Amino acid sequence: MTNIFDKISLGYIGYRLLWGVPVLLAVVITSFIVLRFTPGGPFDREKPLPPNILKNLRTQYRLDRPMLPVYTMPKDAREKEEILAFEEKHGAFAIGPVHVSLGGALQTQLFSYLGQLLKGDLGVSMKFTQVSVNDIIKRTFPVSLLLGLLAFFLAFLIGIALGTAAAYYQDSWLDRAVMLFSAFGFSMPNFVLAAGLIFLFSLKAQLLPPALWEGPLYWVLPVVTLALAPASYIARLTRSGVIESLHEDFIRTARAKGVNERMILLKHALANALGPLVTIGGPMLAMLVTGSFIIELVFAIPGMGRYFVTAVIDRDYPLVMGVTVVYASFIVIANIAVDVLYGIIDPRVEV
Amino acid sequence: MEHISTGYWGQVADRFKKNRVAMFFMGIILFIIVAAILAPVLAPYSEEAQNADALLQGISSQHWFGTDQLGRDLLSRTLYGARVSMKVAIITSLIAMFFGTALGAISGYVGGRFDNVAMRIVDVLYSFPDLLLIIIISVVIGQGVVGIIVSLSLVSWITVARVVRGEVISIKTRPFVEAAKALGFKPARILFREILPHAIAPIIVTLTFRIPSVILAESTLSFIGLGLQPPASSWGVLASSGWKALTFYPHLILFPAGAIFITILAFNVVGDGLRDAMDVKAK
Repeated sequence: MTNIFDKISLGYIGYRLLWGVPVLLAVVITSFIVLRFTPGGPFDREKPLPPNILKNLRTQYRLDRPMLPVYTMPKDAREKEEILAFEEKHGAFAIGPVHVSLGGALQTQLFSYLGQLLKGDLGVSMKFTQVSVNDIIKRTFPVSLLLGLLAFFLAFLIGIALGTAAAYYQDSWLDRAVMLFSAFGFSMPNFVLAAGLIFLFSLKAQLLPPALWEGPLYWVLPVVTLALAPASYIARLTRSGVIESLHEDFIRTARAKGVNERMILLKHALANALGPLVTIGGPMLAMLVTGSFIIELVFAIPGMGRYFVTAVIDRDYPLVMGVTVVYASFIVIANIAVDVLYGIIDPRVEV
Repeated sequence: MEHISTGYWGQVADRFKKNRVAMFFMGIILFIIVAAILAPVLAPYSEEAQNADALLQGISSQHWFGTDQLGRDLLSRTLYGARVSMKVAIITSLIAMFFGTALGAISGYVGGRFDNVAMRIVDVLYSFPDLLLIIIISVVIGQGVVGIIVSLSLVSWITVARVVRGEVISIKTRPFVEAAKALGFKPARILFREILPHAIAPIIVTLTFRIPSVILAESTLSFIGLGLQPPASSWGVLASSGWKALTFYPHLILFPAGAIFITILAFNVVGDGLRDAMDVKAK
């Protein structure tokens, strides 16, 4: 048996990680620009702030400067000195009749943000003043991560078990029940399931807490809610994979050799069906960790998704950007991990 | 004697008709669409009619689905909600279908550097949190039906583009495409008249699966208050107001949430049936 580290060259992983950098950079720059051009600002309140306070705040965060620093020359400025003075005043250079400034708010903010980012500093929240975005993320990301990971493992456990059983007893009542469960689970919106579970288990039976994130008992309902849809999907994928490999020649050979049925099912058929499961594993984990905002809102869980939703509504620019950076990095890394894992499981793939 | 259809589509129809579960849910979809279209005729009350004498009533013969906190008839509101939810879902899916097919087909057919750049853009869009995009667009365009359609279309086309690109890449090496090239047909004609008709089955299946995922996205956004806003009353908006009264008036969320679930289920089952009938491999 070859050492898996012979297959996975560090060079390949390095290459993939390097490719992740421009993707991340593009996500950061696009979000930054799009966010700034979105109407509304972080200091819009139902009861407006006094104008002088608003002005000071906007100056402090440098939101008072024009976004797109393009100036047109005054028509009467024809003299060379006038032009030079104009350019110097705005820090601009001329492209035809239009003078573009490099000292404008957007570029300087973007570049200083990227500089900060390199040092790992995500800035200070505008809503929760004096709290750094790093602190908010340090506090909330582990919650979302735990929620996502628990749901991920539960989904794979249930999905693989049901899918394998359904495939082995293909066309039996068990198979039909699993397929029905899968169709239901796949079609059930998170918030509908959450409402149903809270109504039954918290309000009526009073067995489980309906909200918050204080201990294992609190984890049950959110994790089950989050895991149902992926579990249904994995069950289907496993079922079709196992059915396909049960028809392969090597299964017949194994049976002929007298390998017992459990070994055939688990070691041969299931192992052969793992490929597609690994492929969806990465995006699925990324989706579960970064897409749990609805669960976090419904169950009042102090995770990152909930902060993300409120931060976008409040235009808390640093917080939105911070969460976006963490989300995008997580998605990129999860996808790379899948490619590498895939190479370990399927030796035919050149990694 | 059993009638046996000839031709690909005849066989597809025969196979689909044999799938009783899929046929049943096809009937449900037709029922929902007819109910949505005929809502003004079918609804026993007007959508907004308030009745101070009948607040928060349970299920009764006057109000089959009960009434809400303003005494509005929930059956009527659920029927009108079907109009909004189905309109958003169908229009969004068609827009995503159109752009996704066009871009995916061109990218797959042209290949080379163009395809490379397009796929890198897709990489970036995939790493972009959907929620951020959707919220920002709904803020710029407004939280009306148009805003939600635009923002959901923007995040939906990518999936379609990926499917179509893959199909086109696998079809373009087949002999009849070579023949068309040898006959000197223009690339646009080859792509749209020769290649795409062979990809129509996976495109239809993808469209059928797009609709439930748009219904899911719209109702989820509306549920947390970031999608449509009252008085526009999609099922998600109705479920959202029902959620606030879950403890004492569970019927307020039961019916709209049930409508969402059954509709999504129906489209998923029919999508599965179509996929089997058309013998499309990948989802």
